[in-house]
Amino acid sequence: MKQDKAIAFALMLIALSAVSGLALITVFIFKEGLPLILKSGAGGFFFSTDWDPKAKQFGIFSMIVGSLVVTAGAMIIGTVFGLGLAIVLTIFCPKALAAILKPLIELLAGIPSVVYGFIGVVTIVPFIRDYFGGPGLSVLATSIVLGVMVLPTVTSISIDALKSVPRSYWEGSIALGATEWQSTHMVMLKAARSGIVAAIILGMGRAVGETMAVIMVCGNTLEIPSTPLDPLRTLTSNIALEMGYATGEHREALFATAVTLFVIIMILNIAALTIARRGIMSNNR
Amino acid sequence: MSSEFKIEAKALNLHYGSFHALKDVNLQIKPKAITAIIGPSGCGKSTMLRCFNRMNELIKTVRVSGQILLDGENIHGSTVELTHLRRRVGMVFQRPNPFPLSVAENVSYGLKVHGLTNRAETEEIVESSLRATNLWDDVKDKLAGPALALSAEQQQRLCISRVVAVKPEVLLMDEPCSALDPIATRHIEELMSYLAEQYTILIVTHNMQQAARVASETAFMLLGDLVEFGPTINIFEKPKDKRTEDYVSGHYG
Ligand SMILES: Nc1ncnc2c1ncn2[C@@H]1O[C@H](COP(=O)(O)OP(=O)(O)OP(=O)(O)O)[C@@H](O)[C@H]1O
Ligand SMILES: [Mg+2]
Repeated sequence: MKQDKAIAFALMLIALSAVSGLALITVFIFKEGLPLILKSGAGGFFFSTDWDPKAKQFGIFSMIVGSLVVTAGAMIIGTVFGLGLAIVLTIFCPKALAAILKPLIELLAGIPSVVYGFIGVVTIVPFIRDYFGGPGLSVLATSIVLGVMVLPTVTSISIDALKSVPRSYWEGSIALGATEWQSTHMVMLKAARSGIVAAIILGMGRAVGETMAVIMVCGNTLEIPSTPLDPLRTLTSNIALEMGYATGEHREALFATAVTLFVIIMILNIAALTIARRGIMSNNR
Repeated sequence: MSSEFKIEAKALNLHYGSFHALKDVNLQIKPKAITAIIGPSGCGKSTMLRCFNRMNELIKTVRVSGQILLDGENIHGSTVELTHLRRRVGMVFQRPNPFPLSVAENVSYGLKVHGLTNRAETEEIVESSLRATNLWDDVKDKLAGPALALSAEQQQRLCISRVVAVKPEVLLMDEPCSALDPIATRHIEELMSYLAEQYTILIVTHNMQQAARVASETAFMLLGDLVEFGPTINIFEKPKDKRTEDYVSGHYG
């Protein structure tokens, strides 16, 4: 009994320190970043495209746009291929093959992002430059690299969502004379909807937050991209590129960028959790 | 073409891999009547039933030989379209399995699948199908509500409505009452008797009283063999086979 209590106390202590560590990081980022946002005002910080640390101009609008655009591009690619793959693996391909492929796809998530970035730089970037024009370092290249990077997340969570749909729905639909494809999109995808949405949002969180691979393929220019072939800069690459030498207000502005990123990712994660939880509740009803 | 029987199984054999689940079964199902299949657990009743809409083919290891004639036509024929066959031969499952859609969407599902897009017509069929199973009054205010919120009996009625909506000729029911309480079971039995005026019904049941109450003909199966088949009253009151007699008098096993 005494031992139990001691262990429980120790575990509690560990848990508390982990949580308070996270809380401290959050507080730290906000403490360093918020003052500058308040000083510049929303118009001068969020909605200005003028980022010139030497002239004390800290507008991150082009980076917000850059992050959102490549995230959207990545999600289109990641969703189309990830969900497609999930459907094929759970419904249309032999179980044995799926059992081999799913862990392989999940393994892709473990590849360091610098490797994805490198592959992007040596293959996708020159390909785009040669066949479509522009510098190659572009929205398109970044979206493709990010799309591939979120593929494992989207695929594997969508597979789990589709697998958790009761088999009786499938049989009921087939027995009514529906084709396999009809049963898939009219019943299975609907029944797995919340899990799939959660998968997409989690993938989005990953795409928004990705840094290394993005720095390597995005071009890091400060303008708002007007075509998919234009280079861009994201919130993450802005922080990573300038953190090394920034001091004073410039450093604060990078923390303020981090605050922005933090809030965006929090919103995405909370959305994913609520939607997933709502799905679990409606499946258990 | 025409035949006095709605369905005939001839020398039907089915294997799950190397397991011989149906052994040389011959069966004739009369139209617009209820035929019951009884027998101990694992004897192949569900397998038998699932032959008639070719649902066994969802399982990769299954091999079927022999013939099944629907209105005298072989359902394994190369010109038979599976989706069309399954529309003609509908199925109700042991556990009610409404889709996680609304009540109305469940009933209109089959219509949509088979290409009906006219909204007024769809609504009309939804209503008449729900009336046919006596569910309309219970759900007419909750048509847009989730089907999974209904009671078990209502869900099973909904599943029957869903099948009735596509105007099948045959209804296959695999222990449709086993997830229901006795009163709901009675209700579903009454519904079956009513539906038998229009449809050919095959029902698998563990409940011998149920077979005796609703079925005009009964088949008794044992270990993949069709042991005896005939009018229900004969099966229960003067069985020819010793094994049937043991089973219906409760001596089996
Ligand atoms: N997918 C399958 N693979 C291999 N064998 C199977 C499969 N499905 C059923 N069987 C076997 O076939 C036999 C008949 O099964 P079936 O489900 O038709 O029996 P049943 O009479 O409906 O039983 P119950 O009354 O328990 O529902 C059983 O021995 C079962 O183990
Ligand atoms: Mg069974």
